[in-house]
Amino acid sequence: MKPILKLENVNYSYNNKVNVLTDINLSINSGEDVAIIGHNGSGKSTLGKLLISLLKPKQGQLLFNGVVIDNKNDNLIREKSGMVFQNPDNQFIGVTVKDDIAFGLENKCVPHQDMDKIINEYAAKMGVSHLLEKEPANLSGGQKQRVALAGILAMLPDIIVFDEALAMLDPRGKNDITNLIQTIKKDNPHLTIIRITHNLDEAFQSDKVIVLSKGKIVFNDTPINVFKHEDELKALGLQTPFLIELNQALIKEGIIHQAIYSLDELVKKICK
Amino acid sequence: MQIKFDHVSFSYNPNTPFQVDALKDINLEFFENNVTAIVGRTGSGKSTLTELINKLLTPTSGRVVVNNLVNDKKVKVKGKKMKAFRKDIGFLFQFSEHQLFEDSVIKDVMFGIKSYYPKHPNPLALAKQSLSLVGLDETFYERSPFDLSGGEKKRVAIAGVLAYQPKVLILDEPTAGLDNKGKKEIMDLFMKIHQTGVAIILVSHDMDVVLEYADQMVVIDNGEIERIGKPKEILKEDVEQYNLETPNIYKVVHLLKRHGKKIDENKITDIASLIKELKNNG
Amino acid sequence: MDKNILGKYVPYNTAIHRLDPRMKILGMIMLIVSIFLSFGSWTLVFTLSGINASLIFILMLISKVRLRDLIYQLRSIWILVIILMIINIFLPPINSEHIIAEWGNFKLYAESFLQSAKIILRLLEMFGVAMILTATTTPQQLTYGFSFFIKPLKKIKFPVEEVAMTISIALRFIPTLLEETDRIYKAQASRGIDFKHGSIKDKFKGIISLIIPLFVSSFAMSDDLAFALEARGYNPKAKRTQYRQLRWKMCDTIVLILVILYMAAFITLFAMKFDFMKQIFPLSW
Repeated sequence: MKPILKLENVNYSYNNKVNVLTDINLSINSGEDVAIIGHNGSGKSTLGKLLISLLKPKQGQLLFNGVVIDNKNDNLIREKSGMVFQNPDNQFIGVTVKDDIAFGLENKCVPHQDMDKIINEYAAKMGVSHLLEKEPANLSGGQKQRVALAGILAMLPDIIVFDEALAMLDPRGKNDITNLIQTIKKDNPHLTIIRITHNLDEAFQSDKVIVLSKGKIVFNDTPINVFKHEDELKALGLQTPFLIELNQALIKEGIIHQAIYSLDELVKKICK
Repeated sequence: MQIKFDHVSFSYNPNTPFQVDALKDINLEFFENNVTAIVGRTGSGKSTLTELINKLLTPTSGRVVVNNLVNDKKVKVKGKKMKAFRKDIGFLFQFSEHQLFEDSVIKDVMFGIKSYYPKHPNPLALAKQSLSLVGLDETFYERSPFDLSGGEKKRVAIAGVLAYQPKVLILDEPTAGLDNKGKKEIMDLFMKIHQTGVAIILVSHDMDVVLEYADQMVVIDNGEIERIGKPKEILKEDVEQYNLETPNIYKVVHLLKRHGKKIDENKITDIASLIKELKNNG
Repeated sequence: MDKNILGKYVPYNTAIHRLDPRMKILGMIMLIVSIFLSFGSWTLVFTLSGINASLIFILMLISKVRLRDLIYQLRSIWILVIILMIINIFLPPINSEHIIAEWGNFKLYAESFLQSAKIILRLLEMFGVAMILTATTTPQQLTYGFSFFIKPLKKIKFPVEEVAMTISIALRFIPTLLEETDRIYKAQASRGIDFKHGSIKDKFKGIISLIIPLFVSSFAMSDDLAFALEARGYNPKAKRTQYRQLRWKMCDTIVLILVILYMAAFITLFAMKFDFMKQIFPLSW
């Protein structure tokens, strides 16, 4: 498989002072679901912005489908990527849901007579058809994130970055958006998903987990392989997901012998 | 310190087409020296309830009695009397780090003391004391609050509320947006404060936090009290009917029971106690 | 909070709501011109003002703007009303001849009161027109309407689209900022600030304690927003299409013609100095 995104020897610093990211080498394949985790201030949000060229590396380079991205050609990646941000309010640009979904289409110069059809299609997919005339003040956090996703998907992206997109939602909103991401993943097998998160249970659903600490990549492996390193993760201020903690306790007491990463399966095994 | 709700109802924009009934006929008493959790989904009325305690809001009908002071529609409260209402109650809002405004940390922490007790002989000592309680040493005193990290800002905000020595601390979603480590740190800090004799009212979505830290739990849905009791008692049941999350540990317990495993959920509050119970039942 | 204040859109679907915003902006300007034209005799002035008032009242009925809300606006201008009265009493209008009372050198003219009443009536009418416009037109539509009229400025390199975008984003974020203000207000009130009844010093401190956090939050918000705009492909220099199209309909043309005729009648009366009231009632003031 060929990588859709590649960072080569990337350094990044704000105001050229302390390095926020140091010597990042990373490649992400098309259709992969990658979680980037790390404690607050580990540089994970900066990394997310570098990956879709919202920030430019101070050293090193970003390759998108093998093409080096710079200031002149960053519209290549801009047209093919979207980002769902942490604060549902600060990314809601339109006055109403309709206008917000239309915003990206306007930037893409879609003729206005075609817009309603596209808006209705993606609003329906994201389950916000009944909210089209609403203003953001009358929406819940989860609904706003759904609108953001409708606006992004309407642009037919190859990459979506979720920058702590669940962090400000209540449990219901969190569940709702987590399930929605699974659906989007299933419907768009070629879509590359990057989740920046400190919720390790969320990271557990990804194909690959990248752990950042102090601006450096510490782990880059499958979730199970990464979460095995319980002590190292704890030292980094990352607590293991509940399911893994439970597995480890059960294995330690000899109740089960091999870890099982599905709650249903695990319970069945215990009951045997 | 006594806090009592007596047939309290509250509506936003009463008698207009925009009327929203946020609370309906609430009767409730908070116990001293407890950690009381108020839970419910977004829009259930739980924030409204806390804002009635220090008279940020006035009931549409009924009354809230706090330390013999009455908050109802009939009694007009202003000036010094309003301060008397609020000085014993510390209120930490979600995003409390946004409330900092002075040019140094120490000044911001002293702000509350100065506004409630203008003649206090030594506000500086109180401020230093509460800063050390939240774990910020003297190197922070003269720094600008705006140069601090998010977590440090939050601590300054907490110190700013502790400094005027409230007897009750209301926490609105204190763990929202924090990772597990951050959650544990901040809740441990609040428990340390609780040890010094401060009652805590905790508004939260996070049932894992409620289960671990609260003594008493009040479930609100659609502006009405659905349940009052011990978190362990309530959370082991089906709480999704109140639009609440089942804590992780009880998800496992419920599944085990559904598969016919005989375990006593009353003895289970965390992974360790679950394992013990599993071993006891072979 | 939810008083129907000047400038607040009220989401009904009346005939006036459905008019093109450009028509409404033009109409508002023409009605205000009609309101502020001045005429000869007092009788004529008040007759025409009365005609304007009736028209505006009818428009208010159609657009469901409540008279109560208009009168509510008086609250904010009553000081102006008193100042007007005082000025007009001590500096009576030229040609004042009807003395009501006399104390030594000082003469109290009836014209002083007529003049004050005229100005207040006109102000109220103007408020009424503005309220009809803002109550029936969303801020977004207004922005589109205005940016249509300033489009010719593009020729002198004025960034019309950017300005329109800036205005519509500002409008979008007003409720978000109000929410944030409310939150900070409550936090500072809980820390002992008495915004309503404190001393001047307290109130000053209170305002500072609101404004600084608000600034900090809005800067953080604008950082986020900049990334959000960029992530969705917004480029101020690039060409973009527009989802919301203004549609000029037949009824807009008809209403526009009616308003033009209305204004034309006023201008004719003004230009010809034709005082029909004086013709009918030769003895009127």
